[in-house]
Amino acid sequence: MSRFMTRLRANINDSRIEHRANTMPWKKDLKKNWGLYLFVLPVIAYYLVFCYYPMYGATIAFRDYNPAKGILGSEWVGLKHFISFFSYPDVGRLFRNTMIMSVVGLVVGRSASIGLALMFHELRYKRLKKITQTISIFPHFISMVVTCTICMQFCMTDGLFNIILGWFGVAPKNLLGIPEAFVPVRQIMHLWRSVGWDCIIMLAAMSGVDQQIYEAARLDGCGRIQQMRHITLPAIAPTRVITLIMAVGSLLSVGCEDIILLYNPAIYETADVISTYVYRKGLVEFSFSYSTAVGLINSILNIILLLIANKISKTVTETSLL
Amino acid sequence: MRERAKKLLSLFSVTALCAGMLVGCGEVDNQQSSSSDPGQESTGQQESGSTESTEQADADADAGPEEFTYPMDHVKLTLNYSAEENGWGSLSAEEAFSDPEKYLMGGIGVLSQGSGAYIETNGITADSRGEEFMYMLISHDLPDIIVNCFHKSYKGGPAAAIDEGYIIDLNEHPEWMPNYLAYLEENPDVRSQVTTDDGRIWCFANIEDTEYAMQDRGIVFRKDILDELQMEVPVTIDEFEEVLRAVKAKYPDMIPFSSEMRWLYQQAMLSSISNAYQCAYPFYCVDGENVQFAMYDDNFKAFLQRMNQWWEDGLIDPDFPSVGKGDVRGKLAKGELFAAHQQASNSATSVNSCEIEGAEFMAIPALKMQESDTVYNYLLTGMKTIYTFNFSVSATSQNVEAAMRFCDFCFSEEGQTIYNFGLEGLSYTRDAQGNIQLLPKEERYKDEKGNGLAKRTCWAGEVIGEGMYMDDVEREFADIYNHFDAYAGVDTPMNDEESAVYGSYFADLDTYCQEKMIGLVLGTESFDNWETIQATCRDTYHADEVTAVIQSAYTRNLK
Amino acid sequence: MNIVRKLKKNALDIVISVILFFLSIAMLYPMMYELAVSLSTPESLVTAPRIMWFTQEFSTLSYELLFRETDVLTGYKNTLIIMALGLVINMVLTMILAYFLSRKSYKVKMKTPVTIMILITMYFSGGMIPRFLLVRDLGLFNSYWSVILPGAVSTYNAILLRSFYQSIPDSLEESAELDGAGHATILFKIYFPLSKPAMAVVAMYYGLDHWNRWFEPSLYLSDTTKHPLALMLRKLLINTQAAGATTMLKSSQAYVSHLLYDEINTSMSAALVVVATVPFLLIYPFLQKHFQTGIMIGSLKG
Repeated sequence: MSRFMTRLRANINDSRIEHRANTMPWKKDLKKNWGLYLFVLPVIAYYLVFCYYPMYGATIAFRDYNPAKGILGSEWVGLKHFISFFSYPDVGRLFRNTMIMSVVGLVVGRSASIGLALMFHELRYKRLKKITQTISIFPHFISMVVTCTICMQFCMTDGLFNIILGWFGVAPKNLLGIPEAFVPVRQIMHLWRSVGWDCIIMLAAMSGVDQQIYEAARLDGCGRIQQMRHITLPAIAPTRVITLIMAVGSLLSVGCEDIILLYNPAIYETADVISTYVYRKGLVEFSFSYSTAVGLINSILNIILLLIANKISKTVTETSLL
Repeated sequence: MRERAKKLLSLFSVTALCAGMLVGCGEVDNQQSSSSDPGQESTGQQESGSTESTEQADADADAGPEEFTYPMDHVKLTLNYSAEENGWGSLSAEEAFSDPEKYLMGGIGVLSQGSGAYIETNGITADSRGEEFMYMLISHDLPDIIVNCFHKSYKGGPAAAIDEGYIIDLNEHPEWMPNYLAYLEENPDVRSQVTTDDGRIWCFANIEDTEYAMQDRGIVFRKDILDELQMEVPVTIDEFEEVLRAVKAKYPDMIPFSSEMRWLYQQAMLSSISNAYQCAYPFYCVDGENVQFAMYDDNFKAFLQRMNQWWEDGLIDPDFPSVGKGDVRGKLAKGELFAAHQQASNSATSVNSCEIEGAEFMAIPALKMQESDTVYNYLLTGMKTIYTFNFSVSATSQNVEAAMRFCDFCFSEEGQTIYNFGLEGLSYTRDAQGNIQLLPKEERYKDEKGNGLAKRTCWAGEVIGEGMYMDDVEREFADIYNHFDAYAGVDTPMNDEESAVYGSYFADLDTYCQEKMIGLVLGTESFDNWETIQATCRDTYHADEVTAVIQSAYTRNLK
Repeated sequence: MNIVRKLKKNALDIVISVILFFLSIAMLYPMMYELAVSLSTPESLVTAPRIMWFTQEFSTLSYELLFRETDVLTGYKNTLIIMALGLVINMVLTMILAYFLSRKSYKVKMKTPVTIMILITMYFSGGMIPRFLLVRDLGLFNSYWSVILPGAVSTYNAILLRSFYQSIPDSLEESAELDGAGHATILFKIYFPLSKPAMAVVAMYYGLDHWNRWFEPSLYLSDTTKHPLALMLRKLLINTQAAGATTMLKSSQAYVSHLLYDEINTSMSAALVVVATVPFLLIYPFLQKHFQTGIMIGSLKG
């Protein structure tokens, strides 16, 4: 086995988590690790005060919340809000669209950001690299409202997208009036807006790879493409896997700000998601209870997805959240 | 420090002096305001009623230990209304006390000058659907005056807000609102809207301007092109279509007609076209009795079919699904568009920005099927309606009297004039007949004081003279759009049970209908399914129940 | 021959350069658009073309209005205060948490329970109401802490950082422990320098969060002189219907017709975006250099 592969293995092994059982009794553990526990205490305190103490508030999903009576004083209505959500005849469509949008976002967004990071990483013209990388984060600073405005202009019959489609002989049509076009259009907009920003974490992971491994590989006569495949990508595996698991765990949370700006009833078929539906409901009467209930459903499904992803990752890549 | 103290001291003494002087001439003042109070706007009707109420007010004032006169001693009041929503500026009451001149910036500042109460806002939006507002209620940290829309979107309505201890029943202190009571006496429509089912008054109303009554949108087109085509100004929908087709034939690059798509499905917004079919989405009442649901009406189907035909034939902007108002007015100004349906103010922007040589614009009233047809206003019922945001006095206020007096001031003759037009000499003058003439914009914006007066604020009281504030072109167009023969609106206040039904069913029904309507117009849905769509509205989306509650509210309110 | 060989050697770089060049043009557009809009007269925006790289009719009106009539400088100051205080707290706490999470579970028994505990908070929260009441009860209302403390640690960032800490070889830490170094020393003397790229990224994540946060400030900071830039921008952006920007002005001495409210609003918010983005772009190169060059773990090891 070549020298660099051994070195790489060793490097990756370092980052693995061992799943050895801990059989030490608690007393002994406390005695040994008290310093560490004391060290982390402020953070635990933060979580207890700001995250756990307010959790009683989640019960408003089962109550008819009334600001005058307070959370614990409001009337208990059980599953009323959940039933009301699931009795919406098109609820299946909401879940379907949400899933489609986030899965597409996950697959396309991740491949693009890893690809872009690889490009930045490989480029040897330092100045060009620096400038293009800086430019790539610009769109992320522009507010969503403006990004959507620009995107809508591109979707017009005489807009940029239609000009490009025209080169392939497609007749111009307003893209925001076609249900099938919504997910691609939104995805392109998101790529454009955040691929530069998202690839930063990958870049950071890549820059953490030990340079000596590359040197060893070069001595072995590895080409640059091979180095990418066999060193860079495996070396950032922990970051890739962790971000993937977390992304899977938020598949059902699709933000509504951009969709509300872009969609219209003509494309509800593909564009209406859970969050936009809750938003529209809130326009008639704002209800904390209802939106909390929907949020709770979302969380539960997200957790299930997270656990599945974590389990798969544990067996396949030996990286996991725990 | 010392300087400030000095300043405060001197200010205090001046204030005290002023107050003394005002008390001295109070009697004269009071008589003036009460004698001229309701008479002028009620155009002389109900003479006896108004004198009675004035006497009542006088009696109340007499009953008090001291006779009350405006302005009050300087008093600070807080209210919720984000400064951004109305332009009251960011001056604090303290600053206002020290430099009242500076406080003239917004209309509210002038009101304060007149009444003596200075207003400081806590920056929280008045929309009770908004989260910020809910958090204000949760924290129980309430301002003196709560600007709210409890009647539109609060669970249980205003009555619940009183029961829960957020706002007070104004009836508890009739002595502090003589002008308002007199106004309510004269306007039973308003009284019924500000009174809960059990007779409590929950707010000082902000009453919409009936002159322009939201009917400020309609069709505008290029007159010069019409002349080139040698065609007559269209009155019926068929004539209008003919013009559009002629434009399409002669100028293939020009878009014949455009509008924001949301106006198809938002409340009666495209009624200047749908009027030809005597209907408008979602609910309307043309016979004064029966509320109709657009999706149940075959006229509405015919209207959608007509729109669908226009769309298929390329008479409607291909970007119809996503154009915004900025796009429509831009296209019109750039000469890419022949006719648009938009707000008068947007049309005015188009006209002012258009740089095309010889371009001429013209607005026409709502289209008809036959020339003898009626033009309806699908938004209004004919009653005076209260605006979205109204002014309640909070139950935790330390100074209920000042809060009520301040709100009441806007219903006096003086307050109403200040509220609507600012100060004489600074923002308006009176002509020989005593009618108010606004000074030209440049005058009003001339200096710091005047410039503020040119901004109107949203406040309790009746909004009048909207037209005076419009741009010339805008007013010309709005006058044309505002032409209607009868009311067909159904938007009336609902009681608790009604709004509960409406709240739980309408959002879903509306989503479904919007989607289907747009689908029918854009051709992605077939008109063969019309019956199925109707059945789905009825069976799945509770259209009957929603119509029933709107009907019952309508019947109750218009009896 | 020579040229061909040279081309072949640099083929990858050339292909990448070409791709990045076109991507950069696309990504530069929104910023150019904002610049162009902010530097145009409101009148000219009515008839502006669809794609706008340059100004229509040049005017600095929106910047004048922004600086003269709104509290943009106060907003700036507030954002910077919140960011400076917030970032220090964020980074220290996140590093500690990430350090703890990167321990081996067979050595530290509490690790798994703590991990589960913090993971739960990513999905279940009590919602904003109890949090709001908590902030009020702690007496944080109307102070910068009300915006900083409730989001002091982000679980997501901690887990990200953890995955970087885990790739640091154990041998380094073991040798330090033998020298008698405590946890704080190990974290700040060994982990900190070795994970600079990741730290830079996490700091940027937090930084942008502070930069963009408007909801919490709108709830907790009722005093308008404490409002950050993001909240001001939000107010400009959402008030396009009514007289948003024009009424935000203290006293609009420059008369703008109410018919152009939308345009002046757009142009002012564009100006605010430009003004707000500049500092970030000034700081960026300093952060950027940390994740652009690789580190030599081997050299430190030896």
